[in-house]
Amino acid sequence: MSVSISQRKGWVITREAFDRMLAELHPDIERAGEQYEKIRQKLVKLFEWRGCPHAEECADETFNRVAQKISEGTSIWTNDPYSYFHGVALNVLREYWRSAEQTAKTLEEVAQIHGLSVDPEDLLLLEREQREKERLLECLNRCLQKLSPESLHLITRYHQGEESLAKARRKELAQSLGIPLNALRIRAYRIRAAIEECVKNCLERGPEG
Amino acid sequence: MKDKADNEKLLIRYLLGSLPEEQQMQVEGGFLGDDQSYERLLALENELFYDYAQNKLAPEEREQFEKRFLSSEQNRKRAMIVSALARKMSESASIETDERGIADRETQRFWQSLKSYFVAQGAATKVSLAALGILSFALIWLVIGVVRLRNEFNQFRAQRAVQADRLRQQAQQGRALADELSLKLEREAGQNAILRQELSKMHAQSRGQVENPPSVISLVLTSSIVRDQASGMKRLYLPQAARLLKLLLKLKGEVEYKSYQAILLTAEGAERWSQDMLQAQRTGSGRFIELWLQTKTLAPGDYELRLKGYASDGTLEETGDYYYLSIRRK
Repeated sequence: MSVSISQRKGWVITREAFDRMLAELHPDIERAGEQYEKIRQKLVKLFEWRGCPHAEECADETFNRVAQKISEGTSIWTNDPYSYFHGVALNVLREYWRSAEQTAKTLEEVAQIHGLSVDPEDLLLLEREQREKERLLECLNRCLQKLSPESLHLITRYHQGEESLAKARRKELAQSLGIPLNALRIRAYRIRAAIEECVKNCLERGPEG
Repeated sequence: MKDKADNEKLLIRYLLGSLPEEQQMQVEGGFLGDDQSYERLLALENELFYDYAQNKLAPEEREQFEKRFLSSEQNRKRAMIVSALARKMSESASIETDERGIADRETQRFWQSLKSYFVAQGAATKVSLAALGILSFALIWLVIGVVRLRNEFNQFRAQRAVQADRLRQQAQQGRALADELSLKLEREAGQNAILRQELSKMHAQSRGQVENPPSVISLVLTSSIVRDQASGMKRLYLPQAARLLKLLLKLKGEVEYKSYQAILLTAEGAERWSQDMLQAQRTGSGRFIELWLQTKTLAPGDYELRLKGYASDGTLEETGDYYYLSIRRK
């Protein structure tokens, strides 16, 4: 049984409603599209960070509701669209949690009646996971080879050694690179994110790809 | 500075879901409207995955992390990738730490010997302050030099590790290629042996049956300038008794390859036959490649023969020689 976010009754997003929402975001259609993408990404992360396992669905529902408001003629924002989206997103989140609680209760009842047991397919899943781990290592090696020696050196030093000494070491590293600590953090993050993305892609298309 | 650290703690608590609602909303208001704050949160979230993988989180934080992030399949996969990457990084880091340890001990030893020298010469050092100044300057210069060298050395080590990895992989690929080629060679040798046997049988037969038409048909093919079947098509009428077809491909290209690969294609472009590791033979009238084909593999129709050459580094290249042949049955 899956948890779903209740959509507003009797209202389905139309092309016109969506376009009107975009026009509210920015008069230029291209800039509006960029804005939409940016807000959507942030909303997805917001839902994830709030512990919602259906973050994408919730983000889309947020947009649907905003689009509905606009098509109904409600004036929703002046300078700051973010706070409006934020408010709607929190409403969607609250509804999601209510629905999730309800589903959890139903599952508890089912478990009491039938005594849910471990799925026999779990064994197959474990085997699959093992294979995936092997592929993962293969992909990781490939991706690290694509990395420049400077980047490899940077992330290695960034994560090196004891946690208690991490701050001093990172400060020293930032100084040697002539950048503030925060910029070093972002730089290390971008390198790691690039490796992770490379590994993810490699896993999806197979190591030969 | 303290504010920054506090803010970082606050953001980490937000990510782990341990902030009160009001503060959560503040953090969200911040990153929704500001791209830099958003990227900072992404970086912190990413670091949390690494701290989790390297067991650097406090037990309570660890539990919060698992609850918050590991409930989705996508994040579990991400944690797996991060964990593998973290292991790799700590492997490279331990190599660097060992080397740095050696460099640090060397510097320490130098300091100690210098100190003991000055203790022994206590009175004299008080007098010769100027000399001390020069020595201090030299010492600072020396330490800076050591640090710079150490950094360069570390960088060099990292580069060398990557190069070693690359070389290892290239060697593995090379071995695999060599294995594949030797397998091919064995296969070709087997085929050649069969063909030779068949040939000698036919020679024996032909000696006894002179009146019969020849079992082996030979044909010299010259390559066409353009890759076009219409021009340069050689027509061959194969007698029923012919069992082997010997083709001599005249090489046109100036480039000499280590060995050659010949591929026979039907007019529709389907591969009918191929042979690898062929050697060019030099005669008075030029260079030739000799091919032996069993006629039973050749149905009547038009064919194209493509020739590729193995360069000295083992790569296979188009030689630019195309031969066209039309087979008919008598």
